[in-house]
Amino acid sequence: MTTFEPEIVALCCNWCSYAGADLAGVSRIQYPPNVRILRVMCSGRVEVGHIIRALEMGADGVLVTGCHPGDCHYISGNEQAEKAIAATKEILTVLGMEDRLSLEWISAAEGQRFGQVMTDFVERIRALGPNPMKEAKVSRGNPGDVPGRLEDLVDRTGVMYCLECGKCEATCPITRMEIAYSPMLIVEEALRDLPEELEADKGLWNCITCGLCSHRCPSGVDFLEFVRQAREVETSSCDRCAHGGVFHALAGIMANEAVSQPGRLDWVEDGMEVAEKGELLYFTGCLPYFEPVLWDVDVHPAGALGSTVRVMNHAGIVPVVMADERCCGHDLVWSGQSGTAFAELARLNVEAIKATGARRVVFTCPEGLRTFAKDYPRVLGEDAIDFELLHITQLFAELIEEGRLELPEGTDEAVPLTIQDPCRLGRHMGIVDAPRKVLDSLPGYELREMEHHGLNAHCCGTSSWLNCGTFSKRIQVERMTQAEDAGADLLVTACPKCFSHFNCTLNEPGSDDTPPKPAVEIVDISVLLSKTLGLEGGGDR
Amino acid sequence: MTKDESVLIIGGGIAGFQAALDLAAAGVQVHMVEKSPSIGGRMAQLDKTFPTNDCSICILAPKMIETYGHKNINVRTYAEVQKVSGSIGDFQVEILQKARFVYEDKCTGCGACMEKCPKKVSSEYEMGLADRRAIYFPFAQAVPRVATIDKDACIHFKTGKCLLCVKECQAGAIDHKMEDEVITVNVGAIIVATGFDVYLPYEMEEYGYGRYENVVTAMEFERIINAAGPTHGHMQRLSEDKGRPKRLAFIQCVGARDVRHDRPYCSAVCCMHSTKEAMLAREHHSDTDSWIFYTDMRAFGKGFWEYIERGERDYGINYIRGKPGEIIEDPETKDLILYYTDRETREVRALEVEMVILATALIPRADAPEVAQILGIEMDEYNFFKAPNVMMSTDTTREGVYMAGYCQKPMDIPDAVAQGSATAARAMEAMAQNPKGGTSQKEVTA
Ligand SMILES: Cc1cc2nc3c(=O)[nH]c(=O)nc-3n(C[C@H](O)[C@H](O)[C@H](O)COP(=O)(O)OP(=O)(O)OC[C@H]3O[C@@H](n4cnc5c(N)ncnc54)[C@H](O)[C@@H]3O)c2cc1C
Ligand code: SF4
Ligand code: SF4
Ligand code: SF4
Repeated sequence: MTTFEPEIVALCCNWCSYAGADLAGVSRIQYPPNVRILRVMCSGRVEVGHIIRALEMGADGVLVTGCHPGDCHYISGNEQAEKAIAATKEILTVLGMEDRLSLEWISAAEGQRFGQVMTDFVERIRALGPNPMKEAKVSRGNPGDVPGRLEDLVDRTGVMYCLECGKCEATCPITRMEIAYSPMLIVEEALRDLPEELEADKGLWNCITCGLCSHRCPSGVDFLEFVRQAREVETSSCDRCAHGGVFHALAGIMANEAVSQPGRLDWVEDGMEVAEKGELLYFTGCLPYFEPVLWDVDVHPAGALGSTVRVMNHAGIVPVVMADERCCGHDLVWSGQSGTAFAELARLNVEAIKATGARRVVFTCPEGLRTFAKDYPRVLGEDAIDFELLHITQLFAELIEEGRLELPEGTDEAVPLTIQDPCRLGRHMGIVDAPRKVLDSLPGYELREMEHHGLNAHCCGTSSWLNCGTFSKRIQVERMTQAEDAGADLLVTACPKCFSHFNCTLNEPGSDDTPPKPAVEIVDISVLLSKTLGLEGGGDR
Repeated sequence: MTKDESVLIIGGGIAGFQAALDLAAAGVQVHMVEKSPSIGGRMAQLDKTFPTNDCSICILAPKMIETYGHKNINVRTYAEVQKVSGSIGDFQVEILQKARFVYEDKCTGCGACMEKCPKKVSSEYEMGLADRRAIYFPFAQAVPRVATIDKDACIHFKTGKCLLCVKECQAGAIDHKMEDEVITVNVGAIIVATGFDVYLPYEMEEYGYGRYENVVTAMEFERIINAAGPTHGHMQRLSEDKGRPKRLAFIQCVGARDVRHDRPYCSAVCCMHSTKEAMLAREHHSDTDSWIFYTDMRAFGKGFWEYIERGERDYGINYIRGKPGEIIEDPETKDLILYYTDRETREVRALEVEMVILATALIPRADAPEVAQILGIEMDEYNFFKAPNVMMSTDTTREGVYMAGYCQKPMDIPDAVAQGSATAARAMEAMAQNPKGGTSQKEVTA
């Protein structure tokens, strides 16, 4: 312990705090040498992802400093910083790391204060001890060693059977957005074994892995699987990661066994019945901690957690929830991060599940379901998953069929709703009936299908927290407009990510010439069911 | 070879006719068993035939009549083979003659009964685009021209009442009490020529078949442009407006050359028939424009490539390499928007047309597995009947059983005809080398 010297990253704003550091310097004010200062133009520039990534890389503490309230060079950057830090702290609470982060206001005139803040923070971190990530044995990156050659991929994923019919190109929602991207072109580059070209035009990273092209390709080219593997070959940096790469970094952190999660189950409210051991396990995925990243766009998906448990309890099920559940690793899979982290996440999760004795594992998030079903066996062996995997809508459909949910009487007037088939649930897993069974049995609602639904559904525009950009937004607007055109008031989602992406676009502030947003409300299927059952406290809807 | 040697032919399509007529001309007795109420097969449904654009029924009808009338050919329609035993030179065949509830020898073919029959069902021959009655001729040129009662549709079999047809029939040919019969024949060789079915691509949601009224299969379009068809030869959309489609898009290889639907094979006739249909559409109305979206142009036969070139040059057909990704219907106009990529500019384009014709996969008959089992022959992985090796391309895996036409693999009419003749020769050879069999005149009614 005595030898522990904390490594501190201080993110200082250019106009006040960094100047404060300068003043401390010229004034010869002493502070510990443990601090590495990074100058940012404004504390408001600091994102959740920056902090989480610093912690992932082994920083023992992160200190963000900015101008005093009212003094921000950009008027309100420091208010932005306050929000970002609050959100980050909320996430770090899950990992028990919230004390490793601090936000302080230091003006250009406060050289003395600068020294004091640094000294205090270093001492505080010294008392906390080292960041468990210091000893990290696994990493998500794939330093140097290229795992495969393009040529092998071409064989493995059926790319060589491409007829160049162009159906994929005319199908792909991204190509439709008129950006210079085409799955067929990528296939061609791969066939001609031109890894450099593939890398140079970055096309591989435009794919949102929705799988519509693979679903329609007459030659059975598994473009999805090709993209997944090719992203590993074309070693990635996280330059397409949305939200500053925070989700990928969190996966990297959780992949380390030494990291515990004291706050993982903070979402469990009084009155909810959950267990540590039992038959049925509820795999919550990142729902307990990803919402804070979306606070700034006012998106709140986490309600689905409580609703899900309430519905289960209502049906007499006390689900197992795990304090040591970890990120499923889905986003690493699809961003080419083929380091050891993914396999470790898989191992830790499966071992934890086995220790609970659960025979059935239920997922709210189709990404987690897909990852357990298709990607864990790849790294753990074909027989590693010896428990049943099911999506929450499959469980709900089963409970409804068995008459275990007391659904109220219908009203005369039915609210029209429609359903977004998540790519991971529909095309990746082939599950399209279960959500419909649930919706069909809800009194007071009427399902109106969109033109593209089921296996033919259009994507919500983003996946794996990669690539969110103008075309994602356009796809989202288009999809919600389709829901509106179908005559639906509610667009029901069966995936927390679809829910978040749609809401994000709806909440985006427009300018005067922005066309009106589609008039649909986005509702999570568990929340809707729970409300219908009268379990949400307020009314029946 | 003695005169009483005989051969069984299963399937009265063009391949079966050729085999039957060749055998009959050589003095061999033929038993032709046709499942439907009329012989004719798919060719009877076509409007014209490539590459000569001859009227299909005009060249087929004489063959149908010749086959039916030939003294050496015994045609049984509305019949199926239900059991085969024995071996090459001496097969015993049980034929199920389904009751058609109309006496073949009494019916004059006047059609009075069907004018009065109140029960309508959709017509198989018209690919469901028109109705027929419960008592019906499958099509105008049906051979034999004898009415048949569809037991599943007929009111009398449900309620015991109606019998309007009986009242109407001057010839007293209708008898609702008629029963199925089983007939046993003895033959030296068997030729199977059961043809193909048309794949209906409901599951390929991207093309909207079944959802969008103006998306049709090529076989449906053959009927739509046919003078005797459901629209009396007027090119018409199936949507309520019944408008004349001026812009047509043809999509090739729908569900064919498609491993996702377990059909990697090529249907062999579609590149040609779509070109034919686009030509005919232009001949109907010179202001019709057509776009053919193809995977590769497989116009391999003699004169075929020239035919395609003629389509482009003389009929202004636009050939576009590639498959559209999807079709969207404009709910107001019922027009169809196809998304496809322009190969030159690599842009995704939208093409608006008034009708889409899908060249869907041509597939083995749904009952091919049962037929194979009854005959004791093998099928390939798609359910086409299988040849033992490339040097015996019209033989099946059972000695003395031969196959002709589309039931063994995709082929056009001239090839089906050639195979018909080939199997006739193989059948005669079989009987010459196994002379003991064949007492065709002996028919036993069970
Ligand atoms: C849209 C379209 C357009 C075409 N256009 C052309 C063209 O222009 N030119 C050309 O050359 N080719 C064309 N073809 C191809 C042509 O139709 C075939 O090559 C030809 O019909 C094959 O003849 P067949 O005798 O083998 O089979 P079929 O015509 O299918 O005849 C088979 C017969 O067997 C009967 N049968 C089936 N099962 C049984 C059973 N179990 N027991 C008893 N009988 C049975 C059927 O009822 C039928 O009468 C076209 C095909 C399509 C789909
Ligand atoms: S749809 Fe399939 S066969 Fe056609 S170009 Fe794309 S990858 Fe190739
Ligand atoms: S998976 Fe989706 S986004 Fe990716 S190429 Fe295929 S259709 Fe386009
Ligand atoms: S008895 Fe049957 S076939 Fe005759 S008229 Fe009535 S419904 Fe038609």
